Amino acid sequence: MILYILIALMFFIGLYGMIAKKNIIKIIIGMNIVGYASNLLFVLLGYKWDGIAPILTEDMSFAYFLEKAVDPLPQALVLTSIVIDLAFVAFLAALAIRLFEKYGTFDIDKIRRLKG
Amino acid sequence: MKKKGMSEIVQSVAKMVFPFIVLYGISLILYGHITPGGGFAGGVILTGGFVLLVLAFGTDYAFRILPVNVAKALDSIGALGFLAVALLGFTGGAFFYNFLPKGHIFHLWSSGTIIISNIMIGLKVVAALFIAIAVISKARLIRTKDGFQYKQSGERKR
Amino acid sequence: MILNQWLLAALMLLMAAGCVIAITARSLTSSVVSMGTAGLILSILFLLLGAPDIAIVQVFVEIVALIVLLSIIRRETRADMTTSGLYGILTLAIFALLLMIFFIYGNDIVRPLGVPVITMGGEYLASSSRLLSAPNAVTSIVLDFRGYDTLGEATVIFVAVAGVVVLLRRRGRKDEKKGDE
Repeated sequence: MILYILIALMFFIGLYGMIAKKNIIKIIIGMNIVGYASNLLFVLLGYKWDGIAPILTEDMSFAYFLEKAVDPLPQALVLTSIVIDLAFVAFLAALAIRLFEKYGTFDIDKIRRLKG
Repeated sequence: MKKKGMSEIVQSVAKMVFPFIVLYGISLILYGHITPGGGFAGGVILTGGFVLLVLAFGTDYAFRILPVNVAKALDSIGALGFLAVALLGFTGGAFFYNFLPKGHIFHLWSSGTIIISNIMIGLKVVAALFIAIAVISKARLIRTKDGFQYKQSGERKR
Repeated sequence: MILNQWLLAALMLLMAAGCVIAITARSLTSSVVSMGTAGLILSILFLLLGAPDIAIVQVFVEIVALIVLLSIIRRETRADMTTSGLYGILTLAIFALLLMIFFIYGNDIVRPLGVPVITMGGEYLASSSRLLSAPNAVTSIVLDFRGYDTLGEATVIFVAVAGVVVLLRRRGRKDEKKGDE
C-alpha cells in the first residue's frame, strides 16, 4: 500500500505545481511529473511477484514464460504515452517561446495583466 | 571565426560517436520484435543522435545531414506507410490484419507486418521530433539576432 | 528475490524528493535538472519492474525533454515565486477529497503489489508467440493487437509537430507592431 501512497504523493506534487505556480516552465514541469506518476501506476498494476520481462528467449520453456512473465498490456499503453508526452512537451515549449517573444516574461500573472 | 557551436573537442567526439548512435538505433528498430526495443525506442535514440549534432554544430550542419524537406517527407512516409500497412490488412479481411507469412520464431524475417510497422513508426518518430527540436533551437537563435532586442538588452543590463 | 517492497519504496521516495525540488527550487535550471533526476530514477524503476522496453524509451525521452526545456530557458530567468496560497489550499482540498473517494471505492480494484489486477495478459503472451511468432509481447501488442492506439498516437505526434512549426514560423505572420496592442 505504501507504494500507491507514494505515487499519490507524486501526483499531488505535480498537481500543486500545475495549479499554484505562476511560471510557465514550472507548469510544464508539473505536467511532466503528473505523467510520471500515472505511468508508474500503470506499470505497477501489471507487476507480478518474481516477474520477468514479457520477452521470450530461446533457452526458456514456454510454460515457465507464461507463468512468470508480467502483464504486457499496461506496458504497451505506457510506451505510447511516454512518446506523446515528449511531443507535448515540445509543443508547450513552442508556446512558451511564443509568449516570451510577445510579453518578455514567463510569469502568467504579468501576461494576464498586460492583456487585460 | 565563422565556426558555430561548441568547442573543437566536443565536435570531434560528436563526429566519432554519431555513426554508432545511428547504428544502435537502426539495430533496435530492426530487432524490435525479438529483443527489447522497437520503433519508438529506436526512433527516440536516433533523435538523440541528431540532437547531439544540433548541440555540437548548430542547426545548419544538422540540416545539411538531414535536410528539412527530407525530414518532412520521411514524416509523411512514416504516417502514410503505417496507414497503408493497416489498410492492406483488408486483403485478409480486417483492418490491421497481419497478412504476411509469419515465419519461424526467433528469426529476423518473422512475425509478418510487425517489422514493416516498426520501420515506419521509427521513421515517423525520428523525423517528427527532429523537426520539432530543430525548429525550437533555431527560433531561439533568430530571436537573439534580429527582433525583440529591447527585451533582451533590458535583461542583459541587469 | 532481491526486489522487495522497500527497495521500490526507497527509489520512489528519492523520485518524490526530486519532484519536490523541481517544484520548489528558486532557479529554473536546477528545477529542470531535478525533473531529469526524477525521470532517470523512474527508468530504473521500470527496469526493476520487468519492463526493459519502456526503460530504454524513458531514458532517451528524458534526455531529449531536458534539452528542450533547457534550451528555452534564458540564463537570466529566475522563477518568480509568486505562489498563490489560496490555490495551494484549494488543490490540497480537492486532492484529499479524491483520495478519500479512492480509498472508499477503490478497495476492490487495487490489490496488494504483485497480484496483477488485469488478467488479460496471459492471452496476449500466449498468442503473441504462437500466432505471430514474435517473442517480444509488448511490440506485438503495440503494432498488431492494438494497432489503433498506435495510429492515434502517430496522429497526435503529427499534430503536435505541425503545431510547433506553425507557432514558430517566421513567414506569413501578421505584422507584430501594428497587429496587436
